[in-house]
Amino acid sequence: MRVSVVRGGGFGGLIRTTTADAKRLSPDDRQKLAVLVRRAGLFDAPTAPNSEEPEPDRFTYAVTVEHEGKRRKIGFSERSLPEGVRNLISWVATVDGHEESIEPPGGAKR
Amino acid sequence: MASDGVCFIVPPHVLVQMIEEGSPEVRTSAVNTLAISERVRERRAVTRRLVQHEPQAAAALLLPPTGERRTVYDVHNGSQGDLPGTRARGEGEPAAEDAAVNQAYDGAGATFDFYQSVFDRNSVDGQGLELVSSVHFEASYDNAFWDGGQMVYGDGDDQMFKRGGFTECLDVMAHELTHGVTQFTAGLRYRVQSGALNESFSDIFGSLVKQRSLGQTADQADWLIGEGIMGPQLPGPALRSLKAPGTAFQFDNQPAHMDHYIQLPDDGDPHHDHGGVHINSGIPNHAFFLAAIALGGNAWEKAGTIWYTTLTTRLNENSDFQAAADATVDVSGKLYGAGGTEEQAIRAAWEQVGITPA
Repeated sequence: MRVSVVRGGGFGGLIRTTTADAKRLSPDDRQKLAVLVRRAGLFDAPTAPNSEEPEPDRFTYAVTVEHEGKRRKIGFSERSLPEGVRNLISWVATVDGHEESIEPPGGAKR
Repeated sequence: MASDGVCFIVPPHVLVQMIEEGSPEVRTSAVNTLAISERVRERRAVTRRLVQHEPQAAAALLLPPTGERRTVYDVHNGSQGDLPGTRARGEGEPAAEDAAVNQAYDGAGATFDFYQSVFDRNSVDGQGLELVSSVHFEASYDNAFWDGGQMVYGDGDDQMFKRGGFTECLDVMAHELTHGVTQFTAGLRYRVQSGALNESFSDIFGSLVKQRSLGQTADQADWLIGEGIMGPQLPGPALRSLKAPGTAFQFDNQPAHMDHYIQLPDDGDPHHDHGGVHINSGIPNHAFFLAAIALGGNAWEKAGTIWYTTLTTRLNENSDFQAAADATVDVSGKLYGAGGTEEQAIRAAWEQVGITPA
């Protein structure tokens, strides 16, 4: 299982990508990841594009989950982030073995 | 009715619809019904939806008119459902123990004073809206924002942004409050060019509030946004520069000219920044800088007045760079004489960034 969180916007417009790949986590954390993904309900959530009007300097998220051949990517605005997703995002950003990168808005490779 | 809240006979979302679509009498009645809710949280939740479509009605609901100019709250690492938090310092009260509270208090005061003294504007809505700020939002939250009704400050994470940095930086606070001014005036939609203009007005007035507080003329100012808040993951002195877009820090990719405008889809993908609102803002930012330098003296006086008049009387939610260029040139002619040196300077500034005003 692999969870990747892309966060854009905010005051700087910067893009921060954090990834938790089960292959790089401890056995306990591998289990925790599965629990958090389940609680986030990502495989049930609709993938319809967010039609909310963007708000100044708020974050925008895209969360991608890959598991057993399935892949799901869902977008959220900061304001509409469900609590289960928020918990998953915070955990992915801090768990031992996570990867992280920062790019300017628009992405580094232009 | 419960004494600690209001049991709505008409559900809040229906009241919102009445405000958005009803006749003037229906509207007034619905606004009054919502206003009596003692559940601030409920009222604020409804208000956010209104803010985008009916900013004046939203302003009437945001907080009861207290006559207070500003109030600072501590949200104790809570989230948006916990806003504003516990009251930490009200207008005229002595300094708190918490530096962030005092900085937010001073920043709101300096921005209020700027708009009042320079443009005779009474708060962000022009009608004395109480400036509410909440500090310590979430944990290590590396951001600050105007939520449609109040200022919200995170502590920073000491990686992207310094801990305590957002409330230490006057231009950051004034940038966010200016989003409020824009919301109540032009209403520039936060996407593509209107969004880049929205960002630009916030950077411009953010910088002007700082410049006036330091008594700096246009050529004395550093024209930097977010100087001193950068954390170790973002090497460089500041986040953005109006004087030299693209040079403020290691990942600064702002263009200074339309030739380098970055086309990005407005598709909600976090990589695309709603069509590059934080990137392409470098172009109108630089036009303002050039105009201010050409005019000389204090940037908030002539250049600031032209841009303020443009934002508050000429632009609309879909205005693009061309519209801003045309309007600022026209405004400068109206205020300072058609064909005069001011008008010529504004025209030249836009031409230098690759836009030809009408």
